[in-house]
Amino acid sequence: MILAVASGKGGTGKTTVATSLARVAAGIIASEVCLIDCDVEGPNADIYLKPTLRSVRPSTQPVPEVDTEACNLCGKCAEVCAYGAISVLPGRVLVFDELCMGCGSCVWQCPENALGEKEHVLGGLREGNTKTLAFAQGRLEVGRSRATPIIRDLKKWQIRNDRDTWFILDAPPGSACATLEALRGADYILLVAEPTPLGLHDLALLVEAVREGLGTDMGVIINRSRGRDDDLEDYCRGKNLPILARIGFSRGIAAAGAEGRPLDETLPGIRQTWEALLEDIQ
Amino acid sequence: MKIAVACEGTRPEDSVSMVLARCASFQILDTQTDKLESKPNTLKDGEHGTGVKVAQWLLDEGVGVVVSGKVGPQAQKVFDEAGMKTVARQSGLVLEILEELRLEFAP
Repeated sequence: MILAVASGKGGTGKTTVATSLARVAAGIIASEVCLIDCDVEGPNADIYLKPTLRSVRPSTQPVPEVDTEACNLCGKCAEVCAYGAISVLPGRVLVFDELCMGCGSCVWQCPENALGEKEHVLGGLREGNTKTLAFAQGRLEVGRSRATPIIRDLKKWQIRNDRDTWFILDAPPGSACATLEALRGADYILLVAEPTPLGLHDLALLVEAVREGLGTDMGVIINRSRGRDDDLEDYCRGKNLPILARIGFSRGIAAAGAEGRPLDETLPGIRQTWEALLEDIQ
Repeated sequence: MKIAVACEGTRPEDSVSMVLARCASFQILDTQTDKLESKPNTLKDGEHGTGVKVAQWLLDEGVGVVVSGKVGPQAQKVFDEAGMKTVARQSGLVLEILEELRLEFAP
């Protein structure tokens, strides 16, 4: 089972939900639960779960490398590059590693076979354990801009086709490439939303993106609920999105979160809610 | 020597563009022949690496001096490596800028 936790707006409580869900799921719903922190631009689920962590390997992407002996500066590579990652100057070829998407067109189309590929490091992958959970994390290196390939790499590395293991994915916020890459392949998506105009606006963007791009089933968890969240509820009803749970607006929860304590410790009652929710999804 | 000015509009009477890669057109003066050409920037709506693509296009056009409000780091690298000069001008009409620079870069 692959369960992804996502939100359009940042700071709505994705990590709070994902980590406490994983803790509750372990041992009750599945014999093996693995939390994968896909928010590679700011991975922080480890703050709540405190796993052991070890670096496993870098996450890389191929970029072209020029054989200056074989290259005759014909300019074909710059011409076929859709990303402006290559410039052919009078005396040399200039490659911009950060603009390259690794598609390989330049290498394939070089008439002189003068282009090879080398690995460009985008970030790193880590894994570890808590007493009850397996844990993995991707991390974008400072100065790099491409989160999506790291998320793809992280998921390919960790997710096995295994019905007995639950993979709980903490997705990056937003509704663009990196978020959709994290959600791709999920069996179900939990959307954490807050009942504010910004929360609703960004939720709607993500719902639209998922429906158009992936078609995965989704349900909503309302965080910082004030009891009656009219606009958000109206929206969910209109879009046929079930509201699966509510977490109340409380200073105590915020304070415990700020100290890195898992939600199910601060709010023990949530365990029952999560158990029921996980069984439903199952 | 060819001087290319990034232009907000399509004519030399228009203002210099604050940006390089997304400008509307380039007004290119050849100081040897005194010929002034207006070329639309067909790359301006590109999604990726537009700065580098525009820099490559200017290089292929034989331009030696590039004028705009600002040049991005990657385009600047192409200009530096290719030995092209960049001149920053945040305001002014293209014609006036060319009048001034043609003396500086006279053949």
